[in-house]
Amino acid sequence: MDTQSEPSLRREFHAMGTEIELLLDAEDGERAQSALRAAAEEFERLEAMLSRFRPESELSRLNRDGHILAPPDLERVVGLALDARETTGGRFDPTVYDALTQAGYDRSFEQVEPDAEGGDPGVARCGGRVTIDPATGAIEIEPGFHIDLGGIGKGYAVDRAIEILAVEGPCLVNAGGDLAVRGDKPWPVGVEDGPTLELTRGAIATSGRDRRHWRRGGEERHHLIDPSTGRPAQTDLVRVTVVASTAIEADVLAKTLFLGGEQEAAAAGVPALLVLEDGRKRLVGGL
Amino acid sequence: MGVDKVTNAVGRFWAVAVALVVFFVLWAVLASKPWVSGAPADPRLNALQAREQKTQARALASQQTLNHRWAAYRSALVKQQGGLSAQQRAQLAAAPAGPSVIVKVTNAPAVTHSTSSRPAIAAPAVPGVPAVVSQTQAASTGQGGNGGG
Repeated sequence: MDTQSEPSLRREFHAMGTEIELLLDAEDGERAQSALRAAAEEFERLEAMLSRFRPESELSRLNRDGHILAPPDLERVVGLALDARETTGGRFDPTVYDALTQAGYDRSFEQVEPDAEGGDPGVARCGGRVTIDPATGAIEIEPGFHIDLGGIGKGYAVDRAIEILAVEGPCLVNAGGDLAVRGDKPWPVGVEDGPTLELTRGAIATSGRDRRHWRRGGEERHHLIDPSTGRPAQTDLVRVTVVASTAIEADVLAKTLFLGGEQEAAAAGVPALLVLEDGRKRLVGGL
Repeated sequence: MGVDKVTNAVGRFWAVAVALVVFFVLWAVLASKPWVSGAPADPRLNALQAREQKTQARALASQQTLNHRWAAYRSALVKQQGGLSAQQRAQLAAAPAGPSVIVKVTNAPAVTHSTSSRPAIAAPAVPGVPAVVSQTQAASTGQGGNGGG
């Protein structure tokens, strides 16, 4: 097999508020098509469960009622998000929901007014207590807090979909910036404002404030909340692209490095491309 | 003889007292008319009460069934996950050891440029930041923040 050749099968669709791309290097046939279909359905299934913008989703029910007997995937993603909160010392936090909505991101991004009136968003509390009972799958949130599983949910979906496709051959799943590969085939992946990376094993995620941003009362706001302030993070970085073993890990690291700023991100030892506010670009962590 | 008179007087006193007590008890019992059932209740109320009891019983039964099924499901899930973990451990043991990430910079043309999470409406430019061409992750699952994304 020519490792640099284009994949034989490609499927694109819209889900989770972004464009999803499935690439599979396999012979076209019922099995391969079935795997592509199953991977696409997995995205739709997880979006129906994890979206904070769908009132009927299990996540919305959890946010509404404060507790739920969670289906296994919701339990798993919330568990992973809580693990990430612990390992990052709170830089990554699933309870930023209220800070996001206060900042103006209270509806699907396509419906957010790009520039509107609005005063100071105030400081929303983050770091709410969330408990999971592993025996029953019951999740409970501290009153006054709500959960957002945006990016980590997308990373989880990428990791799930890639496992489904990998059975049929080398593959790549790209969900609007969160991507993963399997099958030990090198995949050249273009990185914004950076070099092309040949990814043979692992995942890539990019977090930045240059895409999902808006203005309120003349003030620039974006979707990357600093849980320590409850407001959109202020760092010297515009965007961070991280390489890690899984899409979830890459997603968590990208946000954590973004919040830490250039010096911390460069010292973290994580393979990453940092794009700074002054236009500089830095490849760090052995890239 | 005097002793007999006293005994008789005390006996008479107790006999009267007991008779009075028995009388009032009987009177109270008869006054309550235990042989007459209570006032005829509103049939609609009876129907509602019956329905409430039936619904409560049904809810209880449903909850028990649900709990039973949920417990069975969790147990099957844990068993299945245990099996998968064992399988994964075996696969890992069999697989050649290697890094979890293999990446390098290349000049090859990219096979994916990300279909981008660029929103449908054009977001205003950030002052001092060059225009974006491709992928910035948009926190998603409907596009979330840093908890999610």
